[in-house]
Parts: sequence; C-alpha cells; structure tokens
Amino acid sequence: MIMKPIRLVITFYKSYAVTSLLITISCLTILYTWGGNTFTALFWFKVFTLGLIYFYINASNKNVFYYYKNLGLTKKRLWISTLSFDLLLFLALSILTGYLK
Amino acid sequence: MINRLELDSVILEYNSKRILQDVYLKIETGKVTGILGRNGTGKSSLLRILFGEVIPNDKSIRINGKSLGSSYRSPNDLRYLPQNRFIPKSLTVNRIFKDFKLDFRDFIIHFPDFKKFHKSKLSDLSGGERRIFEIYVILVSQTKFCMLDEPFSQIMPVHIDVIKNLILREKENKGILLTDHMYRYVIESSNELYVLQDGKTNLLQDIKQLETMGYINAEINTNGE
Repeated sequence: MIMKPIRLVITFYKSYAVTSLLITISCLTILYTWGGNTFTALFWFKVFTLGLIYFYINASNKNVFYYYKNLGLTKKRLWISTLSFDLLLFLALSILTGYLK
Repeated sequence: MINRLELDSVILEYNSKRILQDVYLKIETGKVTGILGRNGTGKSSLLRILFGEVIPNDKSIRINGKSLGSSYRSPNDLRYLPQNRFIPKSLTVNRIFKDFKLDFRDFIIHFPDFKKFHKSKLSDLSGGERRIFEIYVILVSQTKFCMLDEPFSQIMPVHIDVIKNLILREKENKGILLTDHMYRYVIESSNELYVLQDGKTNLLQDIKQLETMGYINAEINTNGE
C-alpha cells in the first residue's frame, strides 16, 4: 500500500531531479574549492533555485498534477516531500564535503 | 449501492464578474449527467470546483449527504478527466495501468489496435492515442463518480463509439458527469442534461431549448438525421 505513493513521489521528483542535482553538484564544487565560509551564500542560492523550479513546473506543467490527484496525491504533498528530500540531500552532501576537505 | 453527489449554492466570481450562481447538479450511480453550454459559461470551472481545484466564493458539495469541506478528493470518491493532457508523458502505458489498478487485457478487448502500445511511453504516441488512454483510466478505474471534460474531442469516430459503449457499461457502477461541445454524443449518452446559461444550470426538458438558448443553430436537426 505504501509503495504506490512512494513510486508516484519518485516519478514526480524525476521531473526536476537532474536540474536540481546539477545545481547541488555545482554548489558542492564551490564549497570544496572555496571552503566553508561560502556555505551560507550557497545554501540560499540552492533555496532560490528550488523556488525557481517550483514556479516553473507549476506554470508550465500544471496539468500533470491532475494525474497525481486522481491517484490520491495532492500538489502540496508532492512538493513538500520532494523539496524536503532535495534540500536534506544538499545539506547532507555539504556536511560530507566539509569532512572530505 | 446508489451513491449521490450533489452540488449547490455555488457562487464563483472572477475579477468581480459573476461566472456561476444558482447552480444545482446531481450525479447518481447508474446515470450519466450531461452539461452543455456556450464557451465561457463555466462548464469546466464547475467540474474543477467539484474536484477541489477551484475554490469558489461559496459552495456546498455533498456525497451521500456528507459535506466535502476541503479541496482533497479521494480517488475512491471522484476522478476527473481534464480538458488537456494530464498524464506525464515519460510514463509507460504499463505503468499507468498499474497506477490505476487496471487490466490491460480488458482495455485491448475494446481497443485491439492498441495492443502494441503496452510497453510504450506516452511520449511515443499521437495526441489522439494518448487521449484514449487518459479517458479509459479515468472512466474505468474504481471510483464512485467520474467527471469527463471533453472526452470526445480529438478522438476519431470509430473510437467515439467504443467510448460511448464504455460509458454505458461503467454507469452501472458509478455516476458519470460529462461535458463536451460534440453535443450529439453528450445527448446520446446522458440520462439527464443540464444547460449552463447566465451562470445557472437549467435542466433540459426538450432538445429544442438548445436552439432558444443559442447553443445550436435552429436549422441543425438535433436528432442527427
């Protein structure tokens, strides 16, 4: 029962995961090269780009949300789960990058 | 069991312009309810209000007498086919049938030409082919009510007949709400017909009312003969 919502959330996340992960990798490269004092700026840059992605998908691809709603998943739930995961991944990789440096 | 979905007391305004008022609509298991109306009369808005996608100034929506307050709609209660394509095109047909818990073998009984698409991605199909899958999953999957916004548009005549037959079959276990400008098909499929005019729903008693309401030309034979 629980697998279906997870599968649907993953499908939705895939629609912007490549763009978001490329931004995360770019931020981590800067963090590794320039050190921890860049973290605050990079964190807000990451939040800003996620905001752009949110508005872009809501505007350009809004009909796909009917697919998920017809299967019981609301737009709010999709965004909260995928944006939280993406930001947590960014934070976890940033901490790991700090250790590696 | 007979389920009943009712909508009334709807007031919808856009920029102080009143689009809907004095609306009453009833959908019941075993019946197809059709809505006709000129462009801009609020047909799609009405469906989107029912699906919780448009929040009107006022409304009362009830399923079996129980009020639906929030914008969440359980798929067990209601499914909605919007006018435009809504299934992510990256998905395969196989995956879509799995999500909606549908049997592809039943589908190909009705659409044998589509057997070859079982493992295809939706992005590989034409607009009309994609629409067939969209209509089918909403119409046939398990729910109490389904709403179809323009199911006959973009579809070739031979498939329209199949969809009309599926509507007849599916109404036995759910209530169906239907709207389309291909009004002959809507009239043929519906048990009850409402016409939206001046923001109000009028239960259609006689097809000739469509002429007086300015929805069809007087010279068109509404029997299609």
